[in-house]
Amino acid sequence: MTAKEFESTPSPHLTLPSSPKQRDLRAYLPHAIVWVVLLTAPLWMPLVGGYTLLATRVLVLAMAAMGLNLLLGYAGALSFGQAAFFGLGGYAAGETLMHLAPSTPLALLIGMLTGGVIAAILGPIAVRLRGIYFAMITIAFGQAFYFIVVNWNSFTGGEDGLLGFSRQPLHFDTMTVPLSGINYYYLTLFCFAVVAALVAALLRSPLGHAFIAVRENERRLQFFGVKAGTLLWIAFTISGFIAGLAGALYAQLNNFISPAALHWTLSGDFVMMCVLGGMRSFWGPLLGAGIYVVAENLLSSYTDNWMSLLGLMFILIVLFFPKGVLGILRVRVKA
Amino acid sequence: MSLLNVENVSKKFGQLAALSDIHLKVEKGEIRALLGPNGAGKTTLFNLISGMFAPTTGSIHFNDDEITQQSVEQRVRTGIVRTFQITEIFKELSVYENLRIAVESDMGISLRPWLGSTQKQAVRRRVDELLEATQLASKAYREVGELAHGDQRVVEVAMALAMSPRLLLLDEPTAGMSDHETEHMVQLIRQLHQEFDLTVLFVEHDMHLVFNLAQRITILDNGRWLAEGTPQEIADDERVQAAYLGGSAA
Repeated sequence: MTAKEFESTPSPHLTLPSSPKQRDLRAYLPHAIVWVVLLTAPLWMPLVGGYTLLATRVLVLAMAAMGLNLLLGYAGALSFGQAAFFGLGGYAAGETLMHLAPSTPLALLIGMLTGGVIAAILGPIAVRLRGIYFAMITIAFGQAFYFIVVNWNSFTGGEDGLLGFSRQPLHFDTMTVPLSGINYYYLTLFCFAVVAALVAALLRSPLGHAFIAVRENERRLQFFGVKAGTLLWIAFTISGFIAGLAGALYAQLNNFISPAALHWTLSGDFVMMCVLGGMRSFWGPLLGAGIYVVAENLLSSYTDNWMSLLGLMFILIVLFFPKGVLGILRVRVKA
Repeated sequence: MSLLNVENVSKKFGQLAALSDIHLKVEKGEIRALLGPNGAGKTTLFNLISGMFAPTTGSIHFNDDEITQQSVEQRVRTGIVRTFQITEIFKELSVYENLRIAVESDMGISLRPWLGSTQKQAVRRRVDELLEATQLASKAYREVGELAHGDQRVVEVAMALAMSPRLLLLDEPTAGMSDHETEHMVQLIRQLHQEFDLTVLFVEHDMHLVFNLAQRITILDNGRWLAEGTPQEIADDERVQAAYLGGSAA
């Protein structure tokens, strides 16, 4: 994966009065910076007082937020149930490692499928609703799964969470790669890059254009003979697959998964990451996840109330910079 | 054989008869105006033709096929495309992006998560053609919300055009426009009518525009058919003058 793949990725919202060619060139640099920063993270993280595990955590959360952002930022539907697919993916990965086969790739695959398939099944119900009602029913879905996991003690470990699995070395033809902290970071980065590449390709496709059309003017889309409900269901399902994969990575990052990974407060955190970073920007969710993890670790060493500080920042961003941190930067560039 | 044939159509909303016993035949290739005072039922008739709702009684045929009960989506596919009184566009997207969405849905590829390069080029070519035809090429990468009102209406027409219409329904195409913008729109409709071999049915209040643009005019009054004819015939019609024109156009 190189930055080159993203050479022509337009930010679908970026409508500078320039030709597509100029836009391609201008779009090249930010993508290159992002990939260089990510590829070298294990090298520079210790220099700024961080550690590799934190970087992996950022990537995992960013992946889930990026999936959510397909719905939230592009299709314009506020889902508050993303953590359900994330958590279920995590549990599915854990159970796979414990009962099915000691294989990390298999655990990732099953985690991803679990999140996606459940989203695909629930989607048709959710997409009948819009706005606040859509947000409400997605919370309801999420909480339903949360309580199932909490109460199903024998299978999920209940409130204590699921313990007793661990990520497994990767086997290639001639060698075996143990998933140490750094190697696991690069495995996560590989998954993140694949997801990011697919999302970027999707946003350049007619389907991606149609997502944005749902957000902008659903009624108009009807007159083009395209059903908004179908589009939202597709976005919901894709975001479920991505959340499931992220959850599977998350479970194996900690070798532990607890019901907190399904709780609606985590769904809210994903929404916050998108909004903080900039939900109209491709890299907004990544930046938002970065800010979130830094705040969580830096601020929490000073105060237990770090969430209220992050909340304050969230309010300020929403009030004054509705396009998020990347939105601020973009205005600077434009001006 | 008429392209559009509205027969005995009535529409009631509860006790209110919005339209009663309307006949309307539009021939292929003509530019027809629908004229009438506020509340005459012009927009209701438009909604019936475009499929927003079904008539209470009567039938609508398009190209000899009965479409009375068809949905909006089905009618769009058969070539009945409308614009709106209130500008309905994707305001935060560029002109190019707006047209691309329309073209992709017309090509039936809106749900494709990827496209081959031939199809990508086909999309690009059609968008470029539309930009060219509607003289929007210089504004292709501007955000639609930033454009002047008149240009936004042109974008709306261009999007309708992207749907490969056979019958183009224009609901007050020059509403809220300056004289200059109105003139531009009239020329554009004339030019598109020729270039794309369109049949146009439009609703308008602006009398000058109606007599200037339409080849035939149908007058509605109070939900009823009142008169029909060439602009000259309408101007000379005494019933029309009495009911509507009030002598101002005579």
